[in-house]
Amino acid sequence: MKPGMSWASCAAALVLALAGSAQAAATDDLELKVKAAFLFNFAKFTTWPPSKLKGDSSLLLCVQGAGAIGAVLEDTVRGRSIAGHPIDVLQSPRSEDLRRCHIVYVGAAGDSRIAQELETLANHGVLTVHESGEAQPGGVIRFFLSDAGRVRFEVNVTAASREQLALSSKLLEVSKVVNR
Amino acid sequence: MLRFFRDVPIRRKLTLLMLLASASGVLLTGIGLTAYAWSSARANMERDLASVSSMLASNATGALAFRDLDTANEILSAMRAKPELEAACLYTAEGAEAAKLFASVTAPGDICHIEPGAAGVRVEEQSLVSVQPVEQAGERIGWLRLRASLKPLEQALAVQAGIMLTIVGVSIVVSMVIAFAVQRVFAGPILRLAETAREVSQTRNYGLRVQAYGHDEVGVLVQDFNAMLDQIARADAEIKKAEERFRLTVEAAPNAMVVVGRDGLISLVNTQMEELFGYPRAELIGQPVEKLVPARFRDDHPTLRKAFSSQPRARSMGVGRELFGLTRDGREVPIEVGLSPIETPEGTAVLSSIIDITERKRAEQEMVQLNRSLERQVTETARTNRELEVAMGKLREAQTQLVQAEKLASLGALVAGVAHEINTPVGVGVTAASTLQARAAHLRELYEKESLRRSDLDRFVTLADESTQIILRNLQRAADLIHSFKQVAVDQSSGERRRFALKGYIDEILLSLRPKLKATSHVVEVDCAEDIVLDTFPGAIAQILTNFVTNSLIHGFEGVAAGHIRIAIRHASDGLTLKYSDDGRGISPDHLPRIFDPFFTTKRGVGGSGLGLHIVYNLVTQLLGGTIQAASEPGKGAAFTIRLPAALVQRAAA
Repeated sequence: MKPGMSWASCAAALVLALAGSAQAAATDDLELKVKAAFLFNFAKFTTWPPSKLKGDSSLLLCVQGAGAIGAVLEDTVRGRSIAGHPIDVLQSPRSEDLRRCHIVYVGAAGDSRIAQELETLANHGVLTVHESGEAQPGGVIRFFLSDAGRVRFEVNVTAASREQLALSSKLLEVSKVVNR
Repeated sequence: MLRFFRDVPIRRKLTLLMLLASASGVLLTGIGLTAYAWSSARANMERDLASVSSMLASNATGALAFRDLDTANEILSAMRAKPELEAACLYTAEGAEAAKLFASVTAPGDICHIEPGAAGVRVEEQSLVSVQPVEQAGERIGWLRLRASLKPLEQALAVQAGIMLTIVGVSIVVSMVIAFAVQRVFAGPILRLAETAREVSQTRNYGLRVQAYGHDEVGVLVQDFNAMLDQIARADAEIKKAEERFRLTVEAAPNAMVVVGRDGLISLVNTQMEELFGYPRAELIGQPVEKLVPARFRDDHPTLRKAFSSQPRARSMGVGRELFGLTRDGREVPIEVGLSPIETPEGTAVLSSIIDITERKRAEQEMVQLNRSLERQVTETARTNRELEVAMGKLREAQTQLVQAEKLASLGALVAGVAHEINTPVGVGVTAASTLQARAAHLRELYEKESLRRSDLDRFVTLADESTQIILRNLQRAADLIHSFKQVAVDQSSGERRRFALKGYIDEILLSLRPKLKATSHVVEVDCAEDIVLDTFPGAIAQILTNFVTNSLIHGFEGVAAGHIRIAIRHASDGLTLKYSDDGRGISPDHLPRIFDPFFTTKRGVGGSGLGLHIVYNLVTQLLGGTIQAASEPGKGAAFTIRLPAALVQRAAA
């Protein structure tokens, strides 16, 4: 995110969609929807190693821990697929199943708890997404709210490369990049 | 346009052509190049726009997916580097959602608040618009719409057109300069040629020649033109000669001659024409021929003239009508006109030959009068002829009667001859009988006186025996004569046809003629085969020979002591030839042609009737169906040759 570069000259037309999204941030429901959409989009911009994602096998989006996001995510991906892979949403699977997931949303509360969870998932080719207060060495993507209250995210490229995930430059372009 | 161009002088044409060629060349090239530049620039621009579109669309996927307006604006602002891009509009479209403007960069004016429209490149309001779908991982997530102005392209094109027009102008100027230089080279000789041609046609001086030039096409043209002038000069001389000959021929013609052209104007007349119509030549040449036509025919004449022109062939004019010519002093002369078409360079003209038929008309009228008087004469002659015919009939009747009389006369002569001939034996018989009677009477007297002696009786018996023999012999002779005369007489008068031996019959005829011959020393020789038998009229033969012999005696042997007559009969191829000839005085050549005419005689008044040979001629030609010819030389006798047809001749039966 590059807050200083917003255009003064583009006066009239730049607003609609994100303004709506900013207001949505005020309500949990809208924020959940945005996050669910983002989770789905992450899958689009990520390439897993062939050993992790074979031919036409399903792409597993998993939600660790409790939370309303699971149901919203299921709504978001219903009927959609990514590059021929059908999408499955797993909510609170067992920890061994969790390692088979391609994207895991760690919904635990508390940074240390999150760090612990991330630790267990490290080195399994999983794109981990969390919402801790600061960057975690184990997590690949971290959601946060911008100054304008919009949902943004940062990418830990060290973690991503450790997990052998190829993240699209377009993803990196719209994210905050960290090395931890 | 072409019509105008045809009348433009050739040097102007050359200039125009060069100008047109160079200007159109440059213009076409320029237009072609400009069109090509325009289309390739358009294509380039489209390609450019398409590639920019796809690049921007690809770049914008992240921003669009994660609704990062800042990044989107940043990506779109990259197109500001391209001045021709007027607007870049990014729309979201997730699932079935309608497109919503997400981010945009525009030139002044709000041109992104419209639907993006269908994908592809197109022109909108003098701008090129490209609509590109934005896709990520096989899913459409939005649209990109770019709009590029075509104005820079048009401006570049205008500059190019300006350059091209400038080049056209310059090339026109340059080609004009070249054309002026070239026209002198090209047009010069052609103009000289044209000048000469005009002079030739005006002055008819075929001796003129164009100055020789190089050996290009114009040079060849000049040579050919000169060669053509040579030929024309020769042909002209020929034509003049021919015209002169024609003129002389017309002049020398015995009739009045006039040549009339297709336009009806007189082009040539001869002296006879001048004399006939009384006009001097100068007053006829170039005048319409109707001047010579009387006023009452004048209106129809041009029509008739055209009719002749449409079917020209030599013929008489106005067949069946009387033609008149109008002379200078207003007289009308009857004429006859012969028309002949003649070919001239100006078309078919008519050569008319005019004959003044005044004299002929007069002669014709005289002829008519003459004919009338002749008819009168003929009528009279016919009447005279009828009278003559009546006289002639009477004459013929008289002739017939005379012939009949002559026949009777010759019969009479025959009877006289017969009587004379018979007289002798009968006389001898009578004398012998008288002597015998006297002796018988004397013997009776002696017997009655009884003084009869034996010697007396012996003498009487001897005398009686002699006398009886004489009487018998002479009576026999008389009987013979009578028999033959009877035969001849019967033949002569009856005309009976029968078969007879010619030789014996001729002998009988000669016997009947003996009284005439006996007193003379003339000899008659008959040369005839014994076996010739005729089947015809013996009387005719008798009469013919009798007449011949009589003529020989009366005429031929007049003053001849011992004449010789020869009758020779020969077989001929077509019958029999009887040739009678004597060696008497002959017939005078003046008389020879007339000897068979009736009543022609040199002895009229001394017994000749002039019918003898006429009868012979009639008998031979009519009764016997033969021919007769007479030949004679004075002093050497006369000869008659009779040819009798074979039908009369029969060989004596064996």
